[in-house]
Amino acid sequence: MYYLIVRNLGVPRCVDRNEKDMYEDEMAFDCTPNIECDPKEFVKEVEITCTEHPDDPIVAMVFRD
Amino acid sequence: MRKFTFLITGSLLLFAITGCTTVKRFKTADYKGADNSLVDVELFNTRLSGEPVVVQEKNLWTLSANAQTRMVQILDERYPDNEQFLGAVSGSFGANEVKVQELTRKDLRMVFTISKNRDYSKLNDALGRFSPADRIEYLRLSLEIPDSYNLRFHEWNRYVTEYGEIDIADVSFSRSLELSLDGIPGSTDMGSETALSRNEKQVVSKRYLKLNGSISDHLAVIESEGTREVDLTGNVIADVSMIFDGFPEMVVIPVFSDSGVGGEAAEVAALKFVDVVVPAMDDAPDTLYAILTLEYIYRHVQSGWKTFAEWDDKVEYYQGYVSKKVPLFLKKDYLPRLFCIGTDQGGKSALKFRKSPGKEYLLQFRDHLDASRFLEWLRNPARMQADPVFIGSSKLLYKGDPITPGEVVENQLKVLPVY
Repeated sequence: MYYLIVRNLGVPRCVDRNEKDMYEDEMAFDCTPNIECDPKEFVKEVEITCTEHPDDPIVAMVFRD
Repeated sequence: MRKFTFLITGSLLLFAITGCTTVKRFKTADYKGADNSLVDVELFNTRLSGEPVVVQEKNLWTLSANAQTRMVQILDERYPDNEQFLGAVSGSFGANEVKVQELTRKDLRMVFTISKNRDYSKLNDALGRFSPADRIEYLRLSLEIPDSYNLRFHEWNRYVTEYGEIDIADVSFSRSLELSLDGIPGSTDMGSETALSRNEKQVVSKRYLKLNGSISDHLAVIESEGTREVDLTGNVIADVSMIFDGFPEMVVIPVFSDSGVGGEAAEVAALKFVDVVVPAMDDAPDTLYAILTLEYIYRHVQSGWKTFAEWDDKVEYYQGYVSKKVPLFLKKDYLPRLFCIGTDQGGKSALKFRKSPGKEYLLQFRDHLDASRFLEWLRNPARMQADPVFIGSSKLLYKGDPITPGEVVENQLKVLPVY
């Protein structure tokens, strides 16, 4: 399982998960969920936007279990 | 010889008319270079307003018992159809829409304290750079916010330039000229005397730049100019509003039924979900700093400072520059006050809720009281201790699994700050 983790004010949060690594730059996600996840291995960084603030790209991390 | 006397008299007269006045800025003035030790600046911040308070939504359950009864009667009359009636009862009224709560704006009163370094030990020292008549004649303050904070100036109360005006003097000019000719052109004696006098009165006043400023996303600049008897030592105050870039969060507002009045524990009738925006910043540093810079022109009176008048001052101008890192916000000032229910033993774990499959959210509250009341409701021994907790269609989760009231007590869950 792959996890998309954003970090704000020092607190990491898993906002999405998927069986495949479908995460790419410039994708947009709902950043409000806080999904239970088990990140073990860092995969990559991607620059995404939150659907609530499409003008402010943020750096998110992709992990897998 | 007579011609020479005439010239001296004329020169003295001219000097008396033009030179002998006390309405002068100085006797002499020289620029002496840079000295950054003459003036210092400090910044003191006061928070002007707190974050906006969430307005709790009004619905049937927030009314008193009498009002509930009356409201049910009214809705029953208005909506005879059963489905419509149930919809109306479970809906909200009054302020229907709870707006997005912006927790990103901070209002500050910034007090800049400008002080002169007064070294009285070198008062009569020729190389000293302090006299009681010295003053800061010009200053330019700037406060710069680093880009990395995602913080910007939004507005302030310094849009209008302030000018000051001082009356310097009432000047009276009195000029008189007497010419006397005496000679013997040819063989004839001739003599002539002419007198010319003129009185002129002027009021000398000056308009000067008291305070001016400009603001952009990351820079606020304040400029001030002193003049005769106006030293710029002191405080400059600016009310500034700053905004962080936003990051979305969702908070819950538990809506309690009114049954807590008769000794019974209040029941959670519904959870209201409210979108909030918190500061967007990767990390949460203990202190956010800004760069405070002061550029100044210092008017040092090298001699002539014994008199209050300035016309006899021998002035030396120094230019100076002070730059320092100043604290703008402490962590407690800029972190949003959101609360969750969980434990910080063995890593922080908090209650979440699942609204729909695959969509889990942190159960976070806008204020401590809401979180405490909700926790009290969860721990109520009258509840079925082994049943998972549902609020409406939302299931409560702890570490990914449904949680029961018994497990809430067992895990010693408590109210914790989210940040």
